[in-house]
Amino acid sequence: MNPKQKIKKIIRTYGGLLALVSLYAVFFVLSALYIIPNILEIPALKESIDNQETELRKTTAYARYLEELSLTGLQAEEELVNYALPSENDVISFITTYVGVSKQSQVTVEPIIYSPGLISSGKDTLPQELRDSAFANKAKSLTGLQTIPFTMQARAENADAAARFIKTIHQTRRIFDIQQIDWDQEDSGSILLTFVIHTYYYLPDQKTFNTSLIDEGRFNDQALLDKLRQMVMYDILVFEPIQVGKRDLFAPVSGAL
Amino acid sequence: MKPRINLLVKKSRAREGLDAASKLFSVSILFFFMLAASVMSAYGYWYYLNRQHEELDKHIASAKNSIQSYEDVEQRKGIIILKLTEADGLVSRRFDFVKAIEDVNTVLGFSITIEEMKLFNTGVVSLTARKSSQPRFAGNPPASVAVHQIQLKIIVPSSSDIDEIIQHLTNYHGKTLVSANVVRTTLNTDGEYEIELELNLAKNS
Repeated sequence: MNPKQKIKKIIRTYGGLLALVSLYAVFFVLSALYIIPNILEIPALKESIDNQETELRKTTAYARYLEELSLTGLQAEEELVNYALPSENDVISFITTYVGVSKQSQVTVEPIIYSPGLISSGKDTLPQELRDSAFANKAKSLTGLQTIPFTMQARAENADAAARFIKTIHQTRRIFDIQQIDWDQEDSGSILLTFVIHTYYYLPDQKTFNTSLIDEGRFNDQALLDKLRQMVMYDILVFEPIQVGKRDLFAPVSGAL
Repeated sequence: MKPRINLLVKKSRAREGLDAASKLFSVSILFFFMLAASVMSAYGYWYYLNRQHEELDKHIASAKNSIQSYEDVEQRKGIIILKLTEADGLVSRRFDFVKAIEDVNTVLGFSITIEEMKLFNTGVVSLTARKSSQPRFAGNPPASVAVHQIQLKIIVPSSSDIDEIIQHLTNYHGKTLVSANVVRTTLNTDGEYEIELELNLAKNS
């Protein structure tokens, strides 16, 4: 028997076995090189999918929250917050609040004097250090909270009226922050009140705000917004009566607060 | 005797051997397919998870794009939050002046007529008063006060009144009064006496 015939015989006898062994070999090589490494990834992949699902839930909720915000509440919130803390030296809301506060019964408030960089009422009693700080404030920082100090002089008919007036000042939506009160009892029984008050505006630094704060549920601003909503603004009282031909623009219709 | 060869036995043995090899071969093939099926199903599961992973990636990217498109809303809301935080801080830190006035009257037992009063948001009250009756300090002062220091100047008609006030102060043991100092006594140009006191009250907790 020549070698060729020998090989043919071997193939005829063990062909099936050889084919099977080759199949196994190919399968194991393929599995080892490609399939098994992928299968081993399954636990990590499942964990990654869990994380992705959480991220997707959060991201979708946040996107929906932003969408709803843009459609409904944002502008109203902005108006509310910007009234309390404007982004610029908003003289209109300041004067409106000042005039509105002045309309309290049993209290006479000196008219406001507004000159660039300095606000006062009646005699100029703004302490020098506050006057300096008003100008230093501008130079100090061009972002963040900016203070506008001013004085207000009022005469209350009695102590109760004076106390009520102080409360009124602290209930305004445009933030009026009393720093000092001079309380002088006059012989007539009335009380001369001189207030040093701070009002503020806020120049936002676009870079400093943290977007994670906005993430729905992380920052509950509703309580704070409600608090602001409960504070008094005087626009209706001061502006509504304005009409063509009216002499005193700030005179209220009913006169009562 | 000729040897008897049973060819049938040999043949059946050979057939048995062949059958066993054939069975082994069949089992091997079956095992191969089972192995291949299980590996392929695991691979299929991996493939499915991989697709799911990619799908989720796409969804996340799309949600992020959506967030990106609301960048201005985000920025405006961010500013609202910054301002709200600042405004809340300002409002909650405000000194309660009405309470301070009530405290002063309560601590001093409404026994003096206030002529002039300066209230500072630091909790210091400086006041000038005239004696209207025997000055007394509240036996049961308020538990928490907004004011922590009263700089009190009382105008009295005679020097004996000064003694009386100091005597009264010495015997006073109010819960909220931490310390009381007589700063100065003077005789003014109107012939009246002024006594300056510094009353330190427990800080509001």
